[in-house]
Amino acid sequence: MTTLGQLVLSGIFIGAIYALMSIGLTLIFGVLRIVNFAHGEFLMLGMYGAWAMTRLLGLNPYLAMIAVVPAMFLFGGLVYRLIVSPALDKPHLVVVFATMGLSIFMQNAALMLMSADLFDIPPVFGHAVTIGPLYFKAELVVGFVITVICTLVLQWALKSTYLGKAIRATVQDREAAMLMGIPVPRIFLITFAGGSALVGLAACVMMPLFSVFPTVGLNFVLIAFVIVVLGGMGSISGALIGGICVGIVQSLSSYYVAPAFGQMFFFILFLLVMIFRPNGLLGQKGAADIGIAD
Amino acid sequence: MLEVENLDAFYGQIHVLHGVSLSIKAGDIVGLVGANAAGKSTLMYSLAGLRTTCAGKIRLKNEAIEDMPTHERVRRGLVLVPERRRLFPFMTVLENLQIGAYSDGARALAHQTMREVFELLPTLSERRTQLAGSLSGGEQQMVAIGRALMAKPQVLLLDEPTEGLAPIYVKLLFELITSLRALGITVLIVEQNIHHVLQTADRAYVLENGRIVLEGSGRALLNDERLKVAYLGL
Ligand SMILES: Nc1ncnc2c1ncn2[C@@H]1O[C@H](COP(=O)(O)OP(=O)(O)OP(=O)(O)O)[C@@H](O)[C@H]1O
Ligand SMILES: [Mg+2]
Repeated sequence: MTTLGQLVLSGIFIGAIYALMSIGLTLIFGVLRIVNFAHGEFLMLGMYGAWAMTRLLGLNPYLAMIAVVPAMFLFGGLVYRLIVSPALDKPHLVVVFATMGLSIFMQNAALMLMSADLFDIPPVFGHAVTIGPLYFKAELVVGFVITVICTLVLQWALKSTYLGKAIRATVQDREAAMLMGIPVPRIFLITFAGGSALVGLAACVMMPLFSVFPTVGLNFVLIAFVIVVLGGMGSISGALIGGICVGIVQSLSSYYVAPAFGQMFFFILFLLVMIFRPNGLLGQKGAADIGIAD
Repeated sequence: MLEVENLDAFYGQIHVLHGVSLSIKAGDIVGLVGANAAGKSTLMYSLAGLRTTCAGKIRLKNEAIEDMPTHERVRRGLVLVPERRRLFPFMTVLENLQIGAYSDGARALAHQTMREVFELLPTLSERRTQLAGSLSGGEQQMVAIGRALMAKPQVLLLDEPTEGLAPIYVKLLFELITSLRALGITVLIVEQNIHHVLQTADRAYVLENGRIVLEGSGRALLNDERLKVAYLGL
């Protein structure tokens, strides 16, 4: 029983962190209707950033957010301007290939600059967090708390600020948004940059838990795609729920079956959801919370 | 107020409008009529700066706007209520109205304008927390117009606002449009309901195959033999 509780809770914690890394992807998909295939490499870049701030400047990785998040915002804005925006009014495959190309380029650039070695940072906290009889890595719990706060703030901002409303309006009807005076290209830029900043945030949360190497993005981007589709493309609360499901399945199956099968089990979960709830766990309702459903 | 000179409009290679010219005086209600596929909506979208590529001149208050993106035209007071209303279905009535006031000038006045809109369209006030997608067709049209009014338009473009509405709403809508005149808003309205619109409009244009073929005061066109034969079935 203790083991089960331990597994489920750590599944929830790690799943929430997976969700944090997926929110940028789902947000960009919801607003721009494009999939950023370089999403994993954005995470890789953010992780190297967090690593550098920690190892070279001796900063706490959570403090590194102060630099990594704005830097990723700028990087996202730059990528949008140079690569995504010019491809938007071309056939859809152009964006697909453009972001895939970027992904390959970033992997190789990282390989050249950083070699294929794994880099990590020393533990941030000296001891574990105990909940009753259960023990958790403090970094895991901190990551979970940051994710929950971040999701709540984001949901609030989308619901209540003028910019958030403009983003939701753009999702629901792009043309009507333009007709109401919303500068839609600007909303795209802000969303893409903001989504990238969120990946930077996730990278800082993940750096204390995982090593970084040039293809680290590939490991995580698959999980992110599963989460985004599970949660309903474009839905933030859906991503959180999808992430937690993936986390629990992974945690249980790697204990009871074998770690190597963890991935297989959440793909089975993925297939089951696709068969029985093709619109994601929250279905249309989930998608509608930022607004896709037409 | 709004001058259009020799406007040609294209969807890609498809040439839809041919040398359209309009001259709309401040405070007028102007009708635009024509058969299906004549290019009425195309003209409206072209004025709003959406969908088409255009050649020709469009001047709003003597300022050339033909090269401006849609949101800049909105900011200057040219606002389109498109065909089929196009509300944000998963937002409440209130949020739809707030989005209407997105441009900075309108946003500063949003509270005041909202009060005026609720006065003009009291049903909106009752439905403010309801999702726009769950309203009846007539109510949705009122929201669409209310949302456009939130943008503080000087020229309001209405594309078939009575489409699919019950007669009682049609009547209400034309009353509403007449009352916009009192607010000093210039209106260009596309309408299938030719009789109604020609009675209300100060001037009207008839569009046929992407060309203006007739223009004149609403009353005069109502008695025009050609129009009678072509559209009124008399
Ligand atoms: N996106 C588009 N791409 C290509 N052709 C289009 C497009 N939209 C409209 N057209 C064509 O342009 C012509 C004019 O269409 P438009 O919608 O302006 O007509 P309309 O006068 O508004 O008709 P209705 O009374 O049915 O609304 C039509 O022949 C139509 O097929
Ligand atoms: Mg039309």
